[in-house]
Formats: sequence, C-alpha cells, structure tokens
Amino acid sequence: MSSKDQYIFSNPTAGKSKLKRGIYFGLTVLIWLALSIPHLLAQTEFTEIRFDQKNAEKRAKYFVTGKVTQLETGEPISGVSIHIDGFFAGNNTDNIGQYVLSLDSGRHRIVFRQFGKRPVHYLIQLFGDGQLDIELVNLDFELEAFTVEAEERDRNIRSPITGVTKMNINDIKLVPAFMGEPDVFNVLQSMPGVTSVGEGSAGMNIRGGQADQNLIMMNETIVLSNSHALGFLSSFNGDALQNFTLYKGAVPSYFGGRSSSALNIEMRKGNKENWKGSASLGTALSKIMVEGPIVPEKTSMIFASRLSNANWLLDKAKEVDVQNSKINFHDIYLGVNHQFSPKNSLDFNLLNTGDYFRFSDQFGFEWDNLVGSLTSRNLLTDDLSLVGMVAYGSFNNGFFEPSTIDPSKIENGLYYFQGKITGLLTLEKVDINFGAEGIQYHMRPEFLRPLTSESGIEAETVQKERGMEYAPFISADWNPTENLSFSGGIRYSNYVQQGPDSIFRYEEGVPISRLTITGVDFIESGKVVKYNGFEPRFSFRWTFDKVNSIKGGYSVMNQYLQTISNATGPTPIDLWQLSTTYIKPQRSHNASLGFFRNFKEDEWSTSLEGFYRTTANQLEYRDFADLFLNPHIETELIQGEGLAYGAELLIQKNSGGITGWLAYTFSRSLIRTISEFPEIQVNQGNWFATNFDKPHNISLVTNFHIGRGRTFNTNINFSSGRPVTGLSSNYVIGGIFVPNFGNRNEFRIPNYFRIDFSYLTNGFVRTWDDKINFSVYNLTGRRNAYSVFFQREGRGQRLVPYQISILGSAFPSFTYTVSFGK
Amino acid sequence: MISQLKIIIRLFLAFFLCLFLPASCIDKLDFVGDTQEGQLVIYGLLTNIVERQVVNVSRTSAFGLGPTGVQNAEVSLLTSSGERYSYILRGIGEYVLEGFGASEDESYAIEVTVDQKVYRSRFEKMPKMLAEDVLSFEFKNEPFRTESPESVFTVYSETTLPSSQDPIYLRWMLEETYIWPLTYLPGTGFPPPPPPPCFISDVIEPNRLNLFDGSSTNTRKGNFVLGKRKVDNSFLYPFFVSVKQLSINREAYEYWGKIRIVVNNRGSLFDTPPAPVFGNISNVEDREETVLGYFEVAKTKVTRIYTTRADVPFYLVDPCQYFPNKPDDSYASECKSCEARAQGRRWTNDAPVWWKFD
Repeated sequence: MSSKDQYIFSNPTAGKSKLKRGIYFGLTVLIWLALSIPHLLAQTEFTEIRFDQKNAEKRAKYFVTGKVTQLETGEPISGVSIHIDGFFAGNNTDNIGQYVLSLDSGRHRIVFRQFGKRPVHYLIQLFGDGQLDIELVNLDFELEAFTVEAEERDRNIRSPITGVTKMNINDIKLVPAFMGEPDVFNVLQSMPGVTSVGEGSAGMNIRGGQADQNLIMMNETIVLSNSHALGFLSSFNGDALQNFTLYKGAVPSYFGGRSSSALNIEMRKGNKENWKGSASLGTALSKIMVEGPIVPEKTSMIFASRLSNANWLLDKAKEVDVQNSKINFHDIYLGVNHQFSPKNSLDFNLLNTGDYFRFSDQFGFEWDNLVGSLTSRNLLTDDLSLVGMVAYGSFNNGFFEPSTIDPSKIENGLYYFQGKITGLLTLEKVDINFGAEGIQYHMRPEFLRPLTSESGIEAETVQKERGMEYAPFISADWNPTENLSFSGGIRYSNYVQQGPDSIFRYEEGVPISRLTITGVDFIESGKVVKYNGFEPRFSFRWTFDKVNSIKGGYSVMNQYLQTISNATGPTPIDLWQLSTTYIKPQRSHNASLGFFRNFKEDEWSTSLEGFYRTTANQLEYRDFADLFLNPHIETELIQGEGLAYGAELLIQKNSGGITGWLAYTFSRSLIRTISEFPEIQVNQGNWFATNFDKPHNISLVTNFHIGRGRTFNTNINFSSGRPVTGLSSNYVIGGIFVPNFGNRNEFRIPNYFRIDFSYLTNGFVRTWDDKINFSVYNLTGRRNAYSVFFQREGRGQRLVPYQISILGSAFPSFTYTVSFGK
Repeated sequence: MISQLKIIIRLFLAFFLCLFLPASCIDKLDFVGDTQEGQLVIYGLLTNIVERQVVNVSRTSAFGLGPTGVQNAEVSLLTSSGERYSYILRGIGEYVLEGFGASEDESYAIEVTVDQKVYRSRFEKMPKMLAEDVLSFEFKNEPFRTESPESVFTVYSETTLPSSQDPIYLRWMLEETYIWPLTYLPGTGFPPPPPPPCFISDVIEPNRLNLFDGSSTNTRKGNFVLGKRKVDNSFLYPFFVSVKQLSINREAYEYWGKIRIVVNNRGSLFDTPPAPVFGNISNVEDREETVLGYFEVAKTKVTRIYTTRADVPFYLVDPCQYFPNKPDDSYASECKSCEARAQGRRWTNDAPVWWKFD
C-alpha cells in the first residue's frame, strides 16, 4: 500500500454505518430525513517539497516555520494540529497562525489538520531550514456529510487543558436560537456546565459561578456589558464572529481578574481580496455586514451592525402595558486589519452596543457600551512572537421612572483603559507565554436627575471609586512525550484603589450600617487600599491508547471588580463595584479532573469532568438592600464563602449526516455569609443555594444535514427549577395581609423544559446567494416558570402561589439574508 | 423555486396562527412549601387624636390562612416619663386604650406579656408636621382587577407639604363608609317599624400602601392616587371616604416601605427579592426570637369626601327595591340583614358623628 492510500479516511461503506449511528443519536421523529443522506468521500493528496541548504554544513536537525491561514479570507488559523510521520507533533499553530517545527533531516510526512477544514498533506525532503505557509479550506457545507468544526475531533483528547470549549460561527449557526440569531451565549448554555438564572436574565453561570465571575472578552479586550434584550441575545454579532473559547476549568495565567471562567470571543478580519457582504431582514432583528480590502492584500475592514425591530411584536400583545412598552437595541462592530509584512500586523476593533427598554410608563432603562482596541502582532524571530494590545472601554447606564410624581433618572457607569503585552517563545518541546496586563478603572459618579422640568427631584451625585489592577504572568506548556503534557503558570495580581474617596468610619462592636457611621475620612489622591496575591495555574494531560486521556487542573483567581445587585437575577443595570476598604476582593480555588475518550476514529467524542471551587469574600446583599445612590454601599452588603461542585458528561457526534451533542451537568452552587453579627447574617449563616443553583441540566442539540445547504436543527433543554424565596406564613397588620417570607432561596420553582428548532436553507432567488432561517424558540409553548409570586384571592385574602414566565409561548422568527460579493 | 417559496410561506403562516394565540405568562402554581406557624405578631398605632388606640396581638398561621388572635396577652403603653397605661381586650387579639391621644413631648413604647414572656418596642416619638390634603374623586372605565375595563371609583389627594425643610414622611389609609337601607317589608298584620339603616365600613385597597418621602424632594405640592374601588351598588346611597393621613418617623417609613416590597412582590426580574420584615419589637430576654409587626406613633389628620348616586355615571341596579306583590322570602338576605350585607365588614346601625352631607 502506498503512503497515499493510508490517508484515505472515508469511504462510502463506512459512511452508511456512520449514518445509522447518527440516526440513533438523533432521537427524533425526523429520522426519515436522514435515511436518504449520502456520504462524503474525501480524497487525500500529497504535495512533495524539498528544502535544501546550499553551501552550508549539513545539520542533524532543521527548522520548518510557517503560517497557516484560511484560504477564503486570509485570516490566520490558530490551533491547527501538526502531525509528523503519523504522530501528533505536540504543537499547534499559535494565536496568529504561526508554527515552528524542529525536525531531523530527511523525509517526513506532515499533515495540517483542523476540524471543519480539509487537511493538507505534505511530503517533505528536509535538508535545510524552510518556510512552509499553508492555506486551509473549509469543508463544503453543501456536502451532505458534515464534520463538526468546533474543534479538532481529537482536541478533547490532545489539548492540555481541561474544561475548554471552543466553537466557531458555523457551529453556532446550527444551534436554534431566540429570534433566529446565531448567538454565542445561546450555544454555550447548551454546553455542559453553563446555565443562566432564566430567560430574560443577563449573563451566564458557569460551573456554579456568578455571572460577574466570568471574564468576557472580545479579542482579549474586556467587554463588561455583553447582552441585549434582557439577556436573550449576546452583543456579539454572528456575522462578524470568528469563534469563541471558553475556559471553565483551569484558566491560563494570561487571563485573570475574574474568579470563575474566561470567555474569549474572536472577531473576524475583513476579506483582503474582495468586497462582499450580506443583509438580513428578520421579524425581530435586521442586520448588515460589509467586508473587503481597503488596500488589497494589505488592509482590510469588516463592518457589521444589527438593529432590533421588535416593537411591532409588543404591539400584538394582549396586555396594555406591554403594548405601551418599547424595546430597542443595536450593535455596531468595525474591524480593520493592516498587514505590514507577513510577520507584523495591526488590528483595530470597535464595538458599540446599546439598549433601550421602557415598560409602559412605569419604568425603563438604557445602557450604552463602547469598546475599542488596537492590537499589534509581531513575529520577532522564528521562535518569538509578541502581541501588544491597548484598549478603552466605556459603559453608561440609566434607569428611569417616568410616571411617578417626581419623574427621575439614575445614571452611572464606568470607563477603563486596558493594556496587555504577551510574548510567546516556542522551544522544541516547550511553549512559554509571558507578559503583563494592566487595567485602570474609573467608576463614573452616580447621578440622580429630574426627568422633567416639573419634577421636584433634587439632583444628587454620589462619587464612585477608581482603581488599578495589574498583573505580570508567565506560563509554560511542556510536552515531554506525545502522551503527556503539562501546562503551568503563575499570575501575580495586584490591585490598588486610588483616591479620591470617602472612607466612612463605623461604630465598633455593631454591624456597619448607615446608622452606625461615626465619621468619614477623605483621601484626596494616592493609595486608598491595596490587595494582591499569587495565582498559580496548573493543568496536565495524560493520553493513553490514543483515544483516552485524563486531564486535570487547578487554578487560583482573584477578582477585584464585581457586580452588586439585589434583583432576582443578574440584570443589565447591575452596579459594577471595585474592591474597597470594606469590600474585599474575591479569591477562588478551582480544581477539575476529567476523563476523555473518543470512538470510531474520533467520530464520537465523550468526556466526563468533575469540578470543585471555593470562593472567599463572595458578595451577598443584605435584606432590602438599597444600592442606588448610596455613598456607603458596604452597609448594604455582606460577604461570605461560595462553594460550587459538580460533574459534566458530554457525548458529541462530530461527523456524518447527523451531528450534535448530549450534555448532562450535575452542579451545585452554595453560599454562606460570614459575620460576627447574627442580625445581618443571611439564613442564620447557614449554607444556602444561590439564585442559579440548578442541580440537573440536560441539553440535546441535533443537526440534520439534509443536503444542498439545508439543515434542520433542534435544541432540547431541561434543567431543575432554580431556588426562590417563598412564603412560610402570613399575618395582618393595619388591615394588610403581609406575607412572611422564609429563608432566602428556601424553595424551588418547577423544572425548566424547552424545545427549539430551526431550519436553514437557501433562498428562493436562484441567481442570488440568499439564505433563509426559520426558527421557533420554545416550540411547545411551555410556560417555564421564571419566578414565583403570591397573589391574594377572594375576600379572605388567601395567598395563592403563581408562577411568572418571561416567555409564555412559542416565539417564531424568520430571517432572510442576502449575501453579495465573492 | 416558486413551490419552495410557497411551502415556506405556508409553514410560516401556520406557525404564526398556531403560536400567537393569546397566552398569559402567569399561571397558578401547585406549590406548597413548608410553613412556619406561631410567630408572634404585634402591631400598634398610637395617634394624637383622642380616640380608641388599638394594639393587635396575633400569631402567624399556615400558608394561605388568616392569623390567629392572642387572647391572653397583657398590653401596656409606656411613656418616657415613666407612666404606664393598660390596654383592654375588646376583640379577637384586639386590645384597646380608650380616650387617649399621644403628645408631641413624650416618647412611647408598648409592652406585651404573653405566656410569661415580655415583648417591648423601642420608644418612638411623634413627628410634629402634617400636610394638607384636598380630596377629589373620579368615576372611570378602566382596567382594574382584570385587563378588561371596569367601572372604577378613584380617590385623589392634592397634598401640600409644609414649607419647612425638616423631613416629613407620610402614609395614608382610606376607609369607606356607606349607608345601606334595609328593605322595609310590612308583612301581614300590624306593620313593624322600619328597620334602621346599616352603616358599613371597610378599608379601601388595604394592600395599596400610600407612602411619600418628603425629605428628598423640593416638591411641596403633589397629586396622589390614594385608592381605587370597583363601582357597585354600594354607591346607590351616600358613600363617604375617610382619608387618614399619618405623619410618621423615618424608621416607620422604612418599615412600611419594606412591607410594600413584600406585599407587591411580583416575582419579576427587577423585584427586590423578598425577605422577612422585622420591626421595632423584640423579646426582652431573647433577642433571637422572631417577633413581627411594629409600634408606630403618628401625628394624624382625617379628611373626608363623599359621593352620591347623582355623581355615578354608570347604571346601578338596586337589588332590594320593594315591590308590593313580591314575596318576602324572595328578597336577598342583604336586603334584610346588615350582617348579611356587610359580609364580614365592620357595620353599625348608628350614623357616625361626621355623617353629614348636602
């Protein structure tokens, strides 16, 4: 058999058996759709290249360097695995698509692989250093067998870090979503370990962590406000999105500042060769995207924008208050990339998002978020690359009440400067990342303003804090053998709260409260308080039998910026709060261990992971906390200890006519407050479930690839009901029936269940490149409880429990997209 | 191409028809949690009006049921100058002190002894300022208890705050009183005397807590909706609304603010999560014991307004209209008995002293 034959990895017979297994996996009534699916036959071709070094002494080893880019867009591709002579070389391409190999002189077979892309095979005669740039091409979606592009099929086995989820936009599009809009957060919530408080709640809870414990970044720039429409949709436009990587286990040391996880969303670079774009008109959302070369082969840009048009849906509602409500949101993304040379490039990214929501004439809120960054990527030597980034972020928040006797508006927000420099030194078996990061936060003063000229509200201002967080970091990925890898690092995080600030003094021996203030110290400038700490990060991978691996990790993370809220779930207008003299930074210890196994030549991947996290100084609000316009906010808060643990099972089918995954998560998230004063303890200082403690979560995502660009997708979701504070008895005072509520989060709402589906197909104008997305969110129209309230009935004023559902019916949407350009 | 388009449009319309059927987002829940009964509840209001001062003592009851009155308590009013006045049991868990009015110069507390345990409130002082209320009313068709329009009676107040910069915190309570004449049924034989009319009183919208914080605004005059009530045959005859304005201190205002939060909790995203509300009363020997309720001392003013059938723009049916040939037993019980008409509301046959109208 020739070497060429060995690389034929698919044939028609194998395809049929794969299809049958896929049908079982699907578990739906649409089995017939899959029966007629033919299969992919992929061919392998080798390209022979010879590198010689004339007039030089022969060496035992030579270097091969190069860059891997996407053929269609010219974008560098990170994480491409490089196989040498049939074995994994231990190195993937770095963040800018570059790689360095040190090989014995002679003949080698080199294969560049990434899932969803056609592998490229080379036969190299290596008798000198050489440069080999590769262009990978996407596997055609029109093919009726499909390969999950999320990550390399063996990535779960090979990658050195546990608890990493990576996915690109093509996979995100296949998960049915609210308003039919491909959405990162929606996809993540179908993955193991990721949940949210409920529909209409901003933010995600990852492995039992609070929403503010997730570091959410766009091209490594911090994005604080990251959702639209009460959390139904993320702020990241799928048209401009490249991929995302979620670190929920051991977070690498080059990320920090949050105590639970890190999510980095990579945005696309514009096409360097042709102008092209797309426009979509949907029932709830319209959008446009344009990309192309400003200077061909040198400078490209991409512009993408979305605008809501959902108000007509509110007009159709039965309730008058809903009819009189208004919801608007938008986001704008601009990316410009300039390539000075193959080794040096500069990126500019700008994201602006905004939301406006008004409920009848009763209340409303609006916020606006701007993030801009400039990133320089430089390959200094064959072994050393440097990435520098400076960024600016601004977030403004407003909450208004237009119909009270004194219409008023509260405004607050913050802005920040972020700088980060990261070096990557690539040695033979070790990759070393090093660098430093600094963020300067300025909290904007909180204003209370009269909303109308007739309002009698006196304008009020509460000054807020400013602080700086900075951290040097270093980490190393070491692959001593193909089967063993270690990744270790350390981050030394520092935080300084800077003046001006007013530090209140409180009576000793009693809980701090506004009634126990004894004085105030004003610090004009300089250091107010400082915190710091080492954050070790460690993970390992041990692979055996090529299809099994065990991975584990441990990390410590500090958090100096957090949100405070006394609402049921995270809301878009939650206050961001820096650590102060009284509000200590959070510090978490995270441990995770997982077993990974792939089957049938990586067609199926499975994993079972466990995690355990403790968090010191987790914030909890006191009963009836008054958070707005409060100059001594520490009097409304209490800190405590957080505990999260659980296990995650993932079964994923990566290729064939039907792809998808089944995810099950068992997760607990608990907290207990710690204070020497029992009167301010929550639930008497005992452990209690957090708002987002949902022990059982199951997701089944199924994609049927019908052929000719059509896919039929379903997403089935089940989770345990979340905790709520319920009624334990009632009493009467002054003729008023008063519910007497029990311990915080003592009860649970009913379980959650939802089915979504989407159908993606080509449009109906043959000469256009048009697409149709028809989707239904909550297909069964199930009224999933978001929360529970009690309502009086009859003259007896008996209190009856009711559940409230954010989305009480099925929500269909239809989007028509036309693409133009090549 | 055309057939594919047709299929898509057909699918789309079918889904819209099926899925946009009217659907509420609120459902009754079969949800009964563990209940905790038996916590002591003490509520007392002391005003400057020389009248009957009341303290209610009860215990919390199971989910959905009314509280149970405590009959064996000893209740006393304490003054900062060391005087003690005893309350007398007058109803189920209701203890009264007749003919007493609070003074601006004193601080007051209550002491309740139940089962040999002593509970005492903090000493509270009565605020000195009151606002001026000018009342008005309106009859309107609007959504009230349901989404459909109903005939609704609304009481407004145009309130003028004193010009002083001292903080003022206000609470309003509304009470209705209407006259209900019983049907005179002469029967056979010697005609009996006409039955005395019923004066039936009830709190309007007890769960609407009308609160105003005058400390954080320059507004000295404001219009407030104080209460709403569905229009029914109670408006056939003169109908009075008594508005009791209570000027309370900041702690009492905060207490009622918390009560309003738990009473109005809708379980929505932006609601402050509910919690038990603790007041200013505690067990003298065991501070850990949960005691619910509050003792407040309020400067009070009562303003009244009335309406008659002539004001009502809606058609009202008199269920008790007398017809000579109609058998006596075919009249509804509410036509013959104040008790039956009141249905648990407070009633009397004696006209209140202020029952005067044009």
